[in-house]
Amino acid sequence: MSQIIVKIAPLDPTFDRGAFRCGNDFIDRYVKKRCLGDHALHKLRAYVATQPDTPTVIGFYTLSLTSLKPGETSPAEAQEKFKSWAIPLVYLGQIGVQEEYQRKHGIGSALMTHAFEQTLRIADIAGTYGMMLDADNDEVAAFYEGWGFFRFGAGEEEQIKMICPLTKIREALEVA
Amino acid sequence: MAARLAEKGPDALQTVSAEAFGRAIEELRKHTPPSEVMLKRIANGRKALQER
Repeated sequence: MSQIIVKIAPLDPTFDRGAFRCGNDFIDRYVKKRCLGDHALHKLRAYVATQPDTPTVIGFYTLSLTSLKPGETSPAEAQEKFKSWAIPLVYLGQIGVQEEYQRKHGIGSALMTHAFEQTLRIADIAGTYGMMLDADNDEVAAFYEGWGFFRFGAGEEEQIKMICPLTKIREALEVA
Repeated sequence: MAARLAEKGPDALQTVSAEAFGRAIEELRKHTPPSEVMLKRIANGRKALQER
């Protein structure tokens, strides 16, 4: 792997997002058109990777907060059955790397590592059980199993819901 | 690693089946150490991150 160094920072208007292309049209459009507004509203937080001293975005991810609750179960029933009526989680909504940088420079790994570090900070400030994502398909889910996520069910749109426990994130960041 | 996740935005509250919720709780209560793959990926990620 040929290594390059990246800086990851919260999105702001000075970053150049105009040429971002990760291969997924939805995310490409989102990065160019909507993510700055959502970030400014604190609907989520968007982080971008750039090479030092350049404004061009070559990687991107978003974090927000979510809670899982069981369907058709009252909070009291859930507390009785599961000893918990909701699961607070950090949600990794989107992640992407500029096409020509994919799979050879460690930028995706840098983004995930940074996202895990942010999740630990959130856990220490506000509490969370871990990081959650929705994988589009089995291949994607298998990739994220390598990042420590477990599968626990299909979502409303048949995406594969996955969580990486906070304990595992903490231990991995300490040991690696 | 391009756009590997579902095309959806954040939801403050997500409802899953009671069965899926139970599985998630059960898994979260286990202690599963990070795999070698996860540790290697984090080490690679740190190499690419600028010193902070």
